[in-house]
Amino acid sequence: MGEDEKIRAYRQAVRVLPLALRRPALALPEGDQARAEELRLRIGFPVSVLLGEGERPLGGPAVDRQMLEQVLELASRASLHTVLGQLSQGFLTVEGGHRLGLCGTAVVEDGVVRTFRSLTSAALRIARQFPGIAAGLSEKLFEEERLQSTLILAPPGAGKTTLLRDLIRTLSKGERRPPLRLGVVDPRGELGAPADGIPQMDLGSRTDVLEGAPKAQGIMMLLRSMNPQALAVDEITAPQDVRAMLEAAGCGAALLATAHGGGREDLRRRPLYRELLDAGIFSRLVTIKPLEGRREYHVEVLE
Amino acid sequence: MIRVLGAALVAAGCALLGFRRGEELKRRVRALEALQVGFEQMRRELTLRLTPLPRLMAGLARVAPAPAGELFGGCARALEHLECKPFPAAWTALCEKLPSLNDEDRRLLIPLGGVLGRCEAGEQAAAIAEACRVLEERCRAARQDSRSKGRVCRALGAAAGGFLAILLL
Repeated sequence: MGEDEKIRAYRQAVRVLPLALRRPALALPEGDQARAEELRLRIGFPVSVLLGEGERPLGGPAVDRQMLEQVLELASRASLHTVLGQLSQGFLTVEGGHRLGLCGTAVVEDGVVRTFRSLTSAALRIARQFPGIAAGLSEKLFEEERLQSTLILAPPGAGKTTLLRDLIRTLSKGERRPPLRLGVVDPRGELGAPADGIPQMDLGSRTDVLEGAPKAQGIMMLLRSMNPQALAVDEITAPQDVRAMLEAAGCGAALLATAHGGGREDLRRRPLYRELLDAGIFSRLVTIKPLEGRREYHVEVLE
Repeated sequence: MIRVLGAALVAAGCALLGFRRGEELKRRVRALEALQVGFEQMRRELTLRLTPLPRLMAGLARVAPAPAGELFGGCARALEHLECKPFPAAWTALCEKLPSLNDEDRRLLIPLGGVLGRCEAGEQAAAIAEACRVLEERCRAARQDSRSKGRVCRALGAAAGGFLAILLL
């Protein structure tokens, strides 16, 4: 991704800010706009930007409750009914694939968070495409000319989604191997970043994206309807996702997924992922380590 | 001759005023019917397809009859500039400018702005259904008004015109 595109992504992301907050965000020098990873909004403080070296206030007015409400209205395009499912998980994906995390007083019904009664802070993570980051990696995911089911594991913010997105693109375009037909279950539109249903991120010409459907249901829908050679899902977080993975594993399609965690030991410690490991679904584990301002990918063969 | 012409003009003017008032009553009926049709389409779209508000409003603007189409078109434009004005404020401003309705009709529509796009589709659909129900009641009354008062206005206009013409002659 070139500098101009990074700046464009930043400027697209700040469109969810009301005018009073957008001005200081756009006044940030272009070099920093290209490097910005997140914008942070907290009631009573000016907006701050998260750069590689840490968080820095941007100046401008202090964020108030009304501004946060307006951020939510802008992010949902005044259509809260279309994002309530996402809101219950504490964030929503906005146009361009940027992720708006929300914090405040949750409204809980039947033990499930439905929405927020009042908002106190928000984090806007800027989505960027980095074509080519998976180039060296994809080769290691094949065995006897077959793509192996792969789990990408890293802590939040380490670039799992970015890597998965490029892996999908590389495999679909067949950059080093014959191209594959991929099915992507993208419940929150983070991988494809669709606008009016059309993915704005390049996921390759042989990729079918199912947006909006829950992961578990989406996996089975794609298997039945689109005959994929590989299936990709971002962030396995719920038992039903794991169950769907277990079901899909026997259907002949390779699985590509991401999960939060620092390493293989973390997976073992969490019952949700232990089940996946024990079932032997994934035969490759990719971990991401930050190294001198860039990211290094390690591939491990799982027995 | 001039006196006859003047009397004819006065008679025509009075009759026109009566007809205009009758037409106003008819226009209100048509406006209320158009809003009802538009809101009913909106409710269906929301319930069946959970359509996002910008696409919903743009779609309704194309198919709903005036003045509902204008209201939805105005909403679609306002939704492109949410950073300047929140949707409820834009909705209120648009309702206040709706032609052919009376103030009470407009006041009925304004609370919908605080519901549309701000809660679950089911809750929005319920609010729209309630607005449709009240619109239907008002529409029925307006139709009755148009039939009775419209006829009276037109007759009064014509009679007043004739009476003044006789006086002038």
